Amino acid sequence: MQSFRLYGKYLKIHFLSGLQYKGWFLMTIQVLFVVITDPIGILFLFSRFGQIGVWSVEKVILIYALAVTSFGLAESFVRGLDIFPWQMIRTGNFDRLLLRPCPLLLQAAGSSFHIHRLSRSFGGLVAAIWCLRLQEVEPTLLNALVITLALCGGFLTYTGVFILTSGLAFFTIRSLDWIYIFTNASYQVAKCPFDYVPRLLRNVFTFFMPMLVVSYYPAAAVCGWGQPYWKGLLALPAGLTFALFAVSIWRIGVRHYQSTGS
Amino acid sequence: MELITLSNICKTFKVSQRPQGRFAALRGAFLRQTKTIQALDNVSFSINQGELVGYIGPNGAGKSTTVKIMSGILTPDSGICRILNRVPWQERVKHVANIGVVFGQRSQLWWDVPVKDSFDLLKDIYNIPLPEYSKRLQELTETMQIGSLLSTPVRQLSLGQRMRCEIAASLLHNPQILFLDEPTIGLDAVSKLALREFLKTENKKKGITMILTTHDMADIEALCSKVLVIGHGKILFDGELSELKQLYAPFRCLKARVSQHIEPFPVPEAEQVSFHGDTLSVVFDPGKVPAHALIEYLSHHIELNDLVIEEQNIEAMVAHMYKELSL
Repeated sequence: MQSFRLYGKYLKIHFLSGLQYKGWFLMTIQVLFVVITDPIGILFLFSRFGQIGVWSVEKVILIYALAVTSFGLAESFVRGLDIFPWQMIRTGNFDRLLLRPCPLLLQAAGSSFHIHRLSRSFGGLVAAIWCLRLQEVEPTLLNALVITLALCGGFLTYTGVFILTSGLAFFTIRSLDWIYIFTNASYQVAKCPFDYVPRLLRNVFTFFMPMLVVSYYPAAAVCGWGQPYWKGLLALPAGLTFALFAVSIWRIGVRHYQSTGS
Repeated sequence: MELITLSNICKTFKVSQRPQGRFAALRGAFLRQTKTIQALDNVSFSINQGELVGYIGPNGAGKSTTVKIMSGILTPDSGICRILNRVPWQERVKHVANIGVVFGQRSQLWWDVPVKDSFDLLKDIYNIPLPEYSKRLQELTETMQIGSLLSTPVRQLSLGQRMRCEIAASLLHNPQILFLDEPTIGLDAVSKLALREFLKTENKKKGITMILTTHDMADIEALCSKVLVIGHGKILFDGELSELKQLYAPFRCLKARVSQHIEPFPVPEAEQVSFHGDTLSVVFDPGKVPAHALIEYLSHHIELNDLVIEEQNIEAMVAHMYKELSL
């Protein structure tokens, strides 16, 4: 509990730092613009062809929106882990974190925070709700629960990706480009109708990094696309498992750092 | 009471090297050649409560590595290190709650926000109760004279101002041990003096054990009772500053102003005699010839108007020592 309070204080100090620079408001609008324009390709495609098989635009956008919202949440709250390799390990500032009596992951996660990143989640959430309404999904308690847990699981999944990035950076010192497959590139996969995603990609994003478990399955369960509810509810445990896996890699990384020096 | 004990600490680093010859950079991108460097080689020493220890040695001797091991940042390859009855790298959180570390070249304050905000965050990081924090903050603001700086963003402070804030920040949680890695680097004379004065009083008043690495011998002379000298990863000297001087700077220099012009004359047992205008300097070893005997001898020969006896310059002594130990 105390950790969460401390994390809040970290966010506060970054929030205040952000306000020190003028133009933070423009940044918020800028990110929102990127978020809105990103799926525009699908919108054009569907407006031209109507439907692709059973896939209508609101189905595709719903899956995409769920993934984007989760990514946005993780990006807002644990962004520090993403920038971490560049900033901290290379400059040796990681030493400073080791000198403070609180959890390292918390400090790394709290090492950066920008309020404008939240506009991605905001945009995603609005789109998701719009799609759910178009498909006339009943706002039952169960449905709300599935969607909420999907977002929690998604947040954990993407947090896991960021932790993994930082953990691997202890060995490579630089951040890794291929890890973007699991960050910004991963929700692009959700733009493709699920049935047409190649089997390999589908397996990677289901069984390794559970992006589809936190977006497609909950959406399918809620909208009644022939997936059972229990699969939709797997989002949280799947996200948690992936995050814990990432934490174990991170731990090995920290030990490697301490024994090889900076 | 022994607060810090290190015995037989060893640490090696791998340093990557670019191969020599044609297409070296290209080959280096694929084949990595590494060289192992022995940063610390059986380092052992112990430090008692309340001691103010100077840790000196040339660049790359292993000073920072030792400090990093003692503060729990690095794990040594072998050897035992116990600080406040804990092994630093095994109980990191408990260990670092009781120490303060100041890196002269790195900041621990948040760059964009006022100093006070950084202090408040540190209060939460170290979980300091509010009354204790307020009292300590007031104390430190007064002695470090940083009251007027608290509302300024760190990026707008001068180096001297920032260093005062850094030191205050590292003492907020009342640590029992303070590690200072080149704290006076880049400071002007006034700031240096103020900083030394502060460290001294803090050490006396609170009994904080301090370990100071520095290249400024005046720091050592002003502050430290005990000195550790490290070179090539080995501890070369461990003892009092006066002993070190005895070993490497046993000579004194007598400087006298004389009234009449004099011809050079021999001085028995003197190491070196020189005349510059009306000044006579004699370098001598008090062990061989005591000062009173020398003065008596000189006053028989010439009229002495004025005279001082100086210790050898400590900077020169250290340079001489590094050379002698072929560092």
